[in-house]
Amino acid sequence: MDVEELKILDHKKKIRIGLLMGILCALYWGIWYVPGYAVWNLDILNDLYVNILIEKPTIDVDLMNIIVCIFLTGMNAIFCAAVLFIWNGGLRKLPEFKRELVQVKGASKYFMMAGICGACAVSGTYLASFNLSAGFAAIAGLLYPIIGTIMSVLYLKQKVSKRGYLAVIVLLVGGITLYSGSIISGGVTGAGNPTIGIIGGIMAAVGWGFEGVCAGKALDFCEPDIGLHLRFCFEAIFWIIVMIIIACTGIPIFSTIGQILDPATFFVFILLGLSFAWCYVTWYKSFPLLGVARGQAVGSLYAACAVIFLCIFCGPAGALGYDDDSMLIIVGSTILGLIICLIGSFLLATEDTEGLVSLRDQKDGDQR
Amino acid sequence: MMEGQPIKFRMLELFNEKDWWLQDIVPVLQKEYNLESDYGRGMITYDIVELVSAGFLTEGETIIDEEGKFWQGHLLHHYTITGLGKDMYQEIVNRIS
Repeated sequence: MDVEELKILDHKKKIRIGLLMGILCALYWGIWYVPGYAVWNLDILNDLYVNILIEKPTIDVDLMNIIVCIFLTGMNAIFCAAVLFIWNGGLRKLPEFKRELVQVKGASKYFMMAGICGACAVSGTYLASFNLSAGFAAIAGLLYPIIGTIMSVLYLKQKVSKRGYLAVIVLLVGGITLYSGSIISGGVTGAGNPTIGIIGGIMAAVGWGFEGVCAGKALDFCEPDIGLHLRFCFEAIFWIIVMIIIACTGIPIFSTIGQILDPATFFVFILLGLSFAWCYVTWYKSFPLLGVARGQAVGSLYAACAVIFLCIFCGPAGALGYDDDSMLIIVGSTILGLIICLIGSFLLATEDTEGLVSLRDQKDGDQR
Repeated sequence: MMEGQPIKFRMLELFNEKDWWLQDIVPVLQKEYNLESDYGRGMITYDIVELVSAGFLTEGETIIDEEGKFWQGHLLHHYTITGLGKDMYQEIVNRIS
């Protein structure tokens, strides 16, 4: 085999690894919904509601729901940061963690911004999911590649081909179709205030879109594993500060924290941390190889993965929420959505990779 | 200036000074960052691939390491910093100084 042939093979391998990372991200993100669904049935959250009501009987119900969402999002971030200490320790990257952490102006400030955008997105998802429905939260979250794509072209100056744009649109249509059956047949009714749910949905889309852009900027000159770890550490610190402020107002937000040591609760939180941390590891690794737009588009297959995993672990009726009357429309829209998502992924996976040696037009820089 | 800083900062500095072959720059970084193992070699090579993806470096001449002096059977590239890479390096220098 000559050099040119090896070069082409080498390049194709790089794109293949990028796509694999994107698909693994979708798988881990999808399976995160299973412990994310189970956690609502644990005493740690149910008792928190009771304790808040005992301490503050006149508290507004919406405020109480927001406080529980903050507690859950904060614990999610703390467990992800803890899991990533083991991950980066195993990879022997902790010295690089220290170098990037202390380099505030040059590196860690971008991950601080990414952490705050991510905090906004994850809490928004929980708010949308609780106040409206899990389906609405998933659709709102799916809109994030639109913001990610626009910003990656305008701000990061990355290249996106016409086929790349088409694939992003097809994946979005597929994701929306997946959940449209539930919304058409059942409407978007949840346990709380719909306005807060809609705000949560916007937070999810905008937060994840901007997080990808902040991270994409810093990943140009930082290690992806370390960047991600810094992002979770900053998110965890952000939520700890928020929770301390809430506790100072007399709301017993830490009253059930001891229950984390209960084996079943600990196991669910470890699963939350592992699946979410791994989803981010693969997500951040796909950006340097595929670009923010394509990485986010492949990652948005998570909606399809979430449906599949919830069907496996919760049963089709429990996962999709259908009854005899709505079975046809919900199952039909789910299968149609899955097929459209597969077409979108196929468009990306079969894109001509020759133009992807670099994610940017180098001539732009050379002319300066 | 970039010694002891995050590894990609140092890489950009070295490439800003001159062009490098893969088999020449990797041992320099392995020594500086205490990554003198096959795993460390792979990690540094992957970081250079990411800098190429970002558009900061271009691959020029390429040879196959048939004798196994660095990594048998693998491609060895000659890297040159691009205008984007120079701009990014300058931006980092301005930011941290």
